[in-house]
Formats: sequence, structure tokens, C-alpha cells
Amino acid sequence: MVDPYQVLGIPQSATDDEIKAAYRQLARKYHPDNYVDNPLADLATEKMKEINDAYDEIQRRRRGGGQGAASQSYGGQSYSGQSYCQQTASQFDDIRRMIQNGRLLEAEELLEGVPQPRRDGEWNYLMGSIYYSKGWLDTAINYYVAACRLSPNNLEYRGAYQRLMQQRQYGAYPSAEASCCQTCATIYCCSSCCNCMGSGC
Amino acid sequence: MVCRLFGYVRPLEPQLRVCELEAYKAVYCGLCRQLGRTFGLPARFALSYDGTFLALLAMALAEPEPGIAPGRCPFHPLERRSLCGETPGLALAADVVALSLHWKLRDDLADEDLPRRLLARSGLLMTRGGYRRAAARHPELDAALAGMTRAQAALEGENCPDLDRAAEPTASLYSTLLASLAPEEESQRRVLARLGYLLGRYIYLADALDDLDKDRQKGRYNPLAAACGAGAETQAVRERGRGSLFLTIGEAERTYRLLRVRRFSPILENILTLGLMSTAERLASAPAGQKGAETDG
Repeated sequence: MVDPYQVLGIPQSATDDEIKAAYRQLARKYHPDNYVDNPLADLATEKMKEINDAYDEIQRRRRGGGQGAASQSYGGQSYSGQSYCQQTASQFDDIRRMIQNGRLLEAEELLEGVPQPRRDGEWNYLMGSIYYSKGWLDTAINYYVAACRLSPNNLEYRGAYQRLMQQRQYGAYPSAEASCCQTCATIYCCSSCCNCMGSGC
Repeated sequence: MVCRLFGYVRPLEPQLRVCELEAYKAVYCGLCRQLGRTFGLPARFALSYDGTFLALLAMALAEPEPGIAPGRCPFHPLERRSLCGETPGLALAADVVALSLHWKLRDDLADEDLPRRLLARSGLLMTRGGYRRAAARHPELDAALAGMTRAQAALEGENCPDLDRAAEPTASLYSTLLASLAPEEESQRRVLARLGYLLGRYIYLADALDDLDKDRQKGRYNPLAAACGAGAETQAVRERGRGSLFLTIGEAERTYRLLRVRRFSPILENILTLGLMSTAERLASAPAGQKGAETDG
């Protein structure tokens, strides 16, 4: 097995707080939310699992090993993007699956064949995802805008649109994604602390 | 501008640690020496930041340790400098620089400017041998460059108003180029292909933003101007360029995180975030006459 300390990029002598900080920083970086619609999402999930495993392993070792310590790490699955998909009844389920499997050309062809009156918010969102995957980022934004206009209450479309708009404004400044995730991390941290104390709240 | 490898992919030097800057310069000087060795003195003038980035990335992925040792440079005879030893990554980057130079000059032959055409012709004659050797070593890259040059000329001819489509040939070229750095590892190859695509897109858009004023004056095709429409204000076009560049940089950084590198990680990170961002910012706010594509040796 790979050295879990190496995965988190910290020395064996690191304090518990340092470990937690390193873990949180990495988890924020590779969080599935950063890779929605991304053709490399599977690699990010893999990386996230590696980080989670390393963190759990360190926790286990520090508690004297094998004492059945509950998993402390983020539970990746609940964020995996698919959860969004079930929110709306979809008329393009098979096309969605095609995009997830990287069959972009076929998916685009099928979408192009959809007649004008059936081109709703989801149609625009899926076109946006295809262009995002291809790296045609400006075209992708335009489709996301149209998707949000047609379905203003859909969180999935709004999320994709906001992610790209934020990027357009801030580029790769590390602080750009911090604001919202900071809150998640704080909430998470508080709740896990409660659990540690055994109060189970 | 001497070469297709423009100088847009460079670090923000004040933010590098002293040892990182030293290593970066050693790769820079090492590439220059490699160009001289393989192609003779004139090729050294084609040295660029973008070529250096390619060498750096190739070395960051490859197993052999690049030996950095003190040496001398004929252009700076008085000081001893750190130079990176010969590695396959450096050799590849030198070949790519030579191939790009050739296709850039071929493209210039069609330029309307007579002095530029003459310069291109003499440049082609001087670098002919080097080009042939590099093309024989990497026929697939030579073909990719030829295809890119052709596709680009066609898009310019039709005055393409779609930014994404206009950037596609350069983006695809860099995608092929970077993907060739890790042919045997599927996941690394996928990351490199996307990173290359985004980097090529960034380079194309940065160049378009840099040439905006000049192109408008001479009435030449500029993808950003074409995308914003004929009547758009220069400031609005610059803003649009800045937005598209930032969008691309953010995506490139997101992709880079997934790459497993053996060394030079802080330097590469600096280039892909701070370096690209500051270049984009400078190009978007620069008044006419401030060129971003300087090279020095």
C-alpha cells in the first residue's frame, strides 16, 4: 500500500490538526463538485478515494489500530452529481448516459436531431455539457445560459452555469472556490467533532 | 516574433522560490544549448517560454533525473550558469521548436508583406536541414503541425466568428503534442490531452488578444474582433478576451491537478495559475505596442 502520509503530502511527525488541514485542503481540491460534466471525473473520484483511504488509515493507526474507528472522511458518494439527475424527469436519459460514457459525437448527433419545440432546458444543458467536455468553453456557457433561462429553478443547470461564470471572472485564483466550500468544511467539521465526543448529535 | 512557440506560457518569476527559479532557468538555458547542438546557432533564436514549458513538463513526467550542472553560454560568456543536462524531454522540445519554426515560416510565405516573405524564405533555407531531421524523428508531429497550419488558414479565409472553432486547430495540435509525452499510461494520456487542448486554446486566444490592435489597423482577421462583431469597442473586445482566457486557465488548472508529476510541480503550478493569469491580465489591459511575445536567450 502507498504511504498514507505521502498521499496527504505531510511528514509522519505531523500533528492531528496538520493532518486534518492537509486532508481538508486536498478534499476541497478533488471534490466531485469540481468535476461535474468533466470527462476526467472518474480520475478525480479515484483521487478522492485515495485521499479518503489515506486519511482513514492514518486515523486508524493513530488510535492504536483496528479499534473499529468510524470513517471520518467525506463520504464522496453523496456528492457524485448523479444525485442531481433524479431531481427532474428526463426526456433524454439515454443521451445523458452516452455523455457520461464519453460518446460525445453520437450524443451530439442525437441532440441535433431533436426538433425545435422539444429543445427545452435539459436539451440546452446537455448540449452545454458536450461542448464543455470538448473544451469549447464559450459555446458551453451560451448553452448553460439558455438552459437556465428555460428552467430557472433547476439547480443542476444553475450550478454548471455559475461554475463557469465564476471561472470566467476569477480564472485559477485558489481563493475562487474557497468561499462556498469553506462553509461546507466548517459545517462538516463541527458535526464530526460532535460525533467524536460521543454525544451523537 | 520568431517562432510559433510564442512566449505566453511563462512563470510569474517573483513568486518562484530561488531554487525553483534556478531550476527553471537551467531548463531554459539547457533548451537553448540543445537547439544549438541539434540545429546550429540560428535555431537558438527560436527559443521561447512555450518551448521551455514543454521541456519542463516532459522532464517532470519522465523517470531519468535531469542533471543540473554549471556551464557556460556563448551569449553570456562572462558568467557561469546552471544548465540542465541532455534529456529526452529536452531533445523533444528542441525538435518541436524546430518543427514549429518551419511551419510558421511556411505560413509567412503567404504574407502580403514583401520583406516578411523574403525573411521567411531565407529563414526556411537556413533551417532546412534541421527541419528535415526533426520531421524524420517525429513524422506524426510534423503532420499535426501541417494540418494545423492548413486548418488555420482556412478559418482565417472565411473570417470565422466562432471563438471556439477558431481556437480548435491550435488546441488540437497541443492536445496531440502533450498526449505524446505519456503514450503508455492511459489515465495520464487523457489528462495530458485535455491539458494540452486547453493550453493550446489559451495560447491561441492570448495571441489574438495581443495582436488585436495591429490586426484591426491592418484590416486583418482577428478571432476576438470577429467574435464580438465589427462595431464592437476595443475595450469590450479586450474584456471578452480576458473572460475567455480566464475561463480556459481555470479549466487548465483543474485538469493539471489530476496529473501525476515526478518533479518541478511548484514551477508547473506557478506557470499554470499565476503565470498564465498575469499574462492574460497584462494582455487584456495593455495599450498598443506592448508585446507579450518577446524571447531572449
